[in-house]
Amino acid sequence: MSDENPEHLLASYTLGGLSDEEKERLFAAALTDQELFDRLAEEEKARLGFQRPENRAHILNALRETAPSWTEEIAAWFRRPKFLVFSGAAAALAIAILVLVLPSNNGLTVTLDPARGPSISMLSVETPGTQQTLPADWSQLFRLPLKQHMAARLGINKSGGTPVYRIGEELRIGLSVQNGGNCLLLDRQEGQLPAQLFPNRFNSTMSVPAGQTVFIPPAGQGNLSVAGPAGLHQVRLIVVPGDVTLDLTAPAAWADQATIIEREYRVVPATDR
Amino acid sequence: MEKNEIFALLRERIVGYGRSLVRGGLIRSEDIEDLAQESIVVLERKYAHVTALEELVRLGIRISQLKAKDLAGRKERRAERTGVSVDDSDLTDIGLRPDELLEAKERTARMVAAIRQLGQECREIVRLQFLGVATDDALKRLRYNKAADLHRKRHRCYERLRRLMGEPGEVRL
Repeated sequence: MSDENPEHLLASYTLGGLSDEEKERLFAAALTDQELFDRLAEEEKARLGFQRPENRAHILNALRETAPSWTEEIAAWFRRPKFLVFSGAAAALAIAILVLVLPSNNGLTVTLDPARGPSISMLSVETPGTQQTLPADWSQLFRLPLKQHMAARLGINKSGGTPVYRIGEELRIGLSVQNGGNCLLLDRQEGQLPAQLFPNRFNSTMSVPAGQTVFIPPAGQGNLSVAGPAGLHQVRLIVVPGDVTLDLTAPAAWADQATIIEREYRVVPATDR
Repeated sequence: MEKNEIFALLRERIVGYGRSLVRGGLIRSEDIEDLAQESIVVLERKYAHVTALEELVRLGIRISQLKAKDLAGRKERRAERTGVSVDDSDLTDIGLRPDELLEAKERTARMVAAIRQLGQECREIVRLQFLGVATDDALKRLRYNKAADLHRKRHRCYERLRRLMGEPGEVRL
């Protein structure tokens, strides 16, 4: 029996490369899984389009081109006019940090300030008692590479790679771990401190039982409205096996076993479409 | 799986798919049963020779999509009181319709632009897929040990490609 996730076969179906046995498995799974069936239906038109000789030729030509090396990409980036604007802004930011932080701190450390409101209205979900102590350098949690050792899912209630939420719109997040595990869910907006979304006042432990989907906020517990300021948010799910302690002050102890998934969304002013 | 069993499950899935089309505003909720029933009837009558599960599901999907377009057209025609209908004989050809061909052409242009933003590994993975290189051969060429790992990587590359194309990624709770 294969440990294949049928959803992972979808891309191979659309673009090609599935064996007959794999196709059989995918289609049999779709017959009993409505979500998979709907996605398969969505992919079918794309597949038929890509199969057209004129479209195939364009795509194959693009695929034969060599991707630029990272040095070429950096060089190209520096040649962009935007770089000048960005470097100016970065310099201004650096000066602002030096002016604002250094007089009151000997070191440049950033800690989670529980009194500070997160950029989305999570106050009804968060509660100080359930907050883990984030490490002084919490950004290291966002620097850990994305990886998936365990079957876990993280979703938000809007489609798209970077869905857009207008301020005031409802947000719901869901997570599940196929075989259960200890989880931490953080939301970070560019330039702001992260908010811990899970555990929270409704789920006070990190443990998520096998196969159970945890919703934030939980069903029947009201809505979660997106608040300003506008900007890009990253929602990061960190999962470790149930017998591993997710000690956030010592990521090195569990990082190798962690499954890390990330989604992002953008908050725009209520008037934007 | 027996053909009748496949049809029964397929009908259930088309009903579910119909609900998503209702949410998308393409058809009306009272059309869902017609969509499922008519799709299965076309499948039974026009494609009686087909027995493979994969083909039946693929045909079921495509027929229901074309039927949905027909139902959506009927909805508009009702509004316009023209009373034109589409014959089921059209459904012996499940290829893309002119509007879908245009859509595919535009999608291809977006895909080409997206490919140019992909890294080399993803490009190679997608290229082998496009050339129809089977999983076993792709495993050797890309030096992956397990098919599941390769499919996961293909999935990630495709999701990235879709994001770069500005299309919805995998988003479900």
